[in-house]
Amino acid sequence: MGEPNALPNGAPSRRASDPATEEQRRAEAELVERCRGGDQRAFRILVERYQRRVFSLAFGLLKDPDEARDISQEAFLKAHRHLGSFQGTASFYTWLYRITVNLCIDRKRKVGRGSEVELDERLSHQQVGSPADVLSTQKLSFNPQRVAQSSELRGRILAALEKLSEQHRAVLILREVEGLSYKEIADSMDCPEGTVMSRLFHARRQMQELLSDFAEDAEQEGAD
Amino acid sequence: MAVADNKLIRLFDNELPVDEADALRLELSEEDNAKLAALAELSSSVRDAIESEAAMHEVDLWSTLQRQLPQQAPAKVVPLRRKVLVRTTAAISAFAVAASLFFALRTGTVRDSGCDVEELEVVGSGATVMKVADDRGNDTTLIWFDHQEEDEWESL
Repeated sequence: MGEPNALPNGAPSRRASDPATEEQRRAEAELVERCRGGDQRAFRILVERYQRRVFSLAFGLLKDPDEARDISQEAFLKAHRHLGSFQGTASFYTWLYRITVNLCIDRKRKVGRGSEVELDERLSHQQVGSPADVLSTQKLSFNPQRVAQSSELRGRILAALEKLSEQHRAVLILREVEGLSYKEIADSMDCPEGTVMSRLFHARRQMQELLSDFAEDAEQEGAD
Repeated sequence: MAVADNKLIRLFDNELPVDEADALRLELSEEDNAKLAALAELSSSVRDAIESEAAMHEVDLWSTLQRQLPQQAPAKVVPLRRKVLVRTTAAISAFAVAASLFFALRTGTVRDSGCDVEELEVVGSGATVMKVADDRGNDTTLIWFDHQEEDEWESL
């Protein structure tokens, strides 16, 4: 196991108070200001800096690369169009992630795939206080290298993610993939930090539950 | 004694103050460590699955965005000072009109002006000249300015 307070890949979690982040934020504020003045080169820098991350977020939420590309493009266009209303109280990227998450949720609702969101959320919160509301100690018995190499493993993980509500999935991806702090996730999702913690807990608990069969399969395979 | 799950998760996510996190690490039981290990494994699995799948697809948004951006005007930024100035002027003007009408109608001392406006110059706004009659037959000339911005208006 890695350090408890480090991201799984060993990189420390980014914190809003980190000097590097502060410096990055200032540089980014300058770029945003230049974009407001109509400087397209500045906007290009922002696009190239964040396009991969925005795409990964949209891909994690939609599971379809073409839709994820469309949404990413729409998110940048929307950001450009509304730069005048960007207050600068949050980072540019948390604002951009918020736009992306909202566009993904809208897209899912439009195609009728998001109808179960509220029910899903209600059900998951009903589990509070039940035995299922306890973190699992069970390891999944697969390592990151296997995940990277096996499309079947990735498929199982993405299928499990698909079963979470959009809000739970978004919080989980913003934390695990983007490494955002609770505060940054709260800014991106436009909700209180307490809600972020609750959603994150339930999302992880549900994922452990959904992948537990898989862990058993893996153990069985190992025994065979 | 096992650490509460919500605290364990905050420790894992690096969301506890440094002192508290250091103290908590000394208290971790075997079960707590197993939970942290399971969380770490889940995190890396989710991260690797999404990143590996996403990395298979080419992402070059700029070439498409570039063609669409020039059609959009740069975002219009209205300085806060100007907003405050316009809104204050509008409020004062509205108050002045209301007060003038109130006194004109109350005292009945306003003579028939016959809308004797010699010159009216309006820049960036629309204006309407009106003659308003009160219940005693006296007329008042009213010049109403409309700003281009929807939510801002001004009258004299």
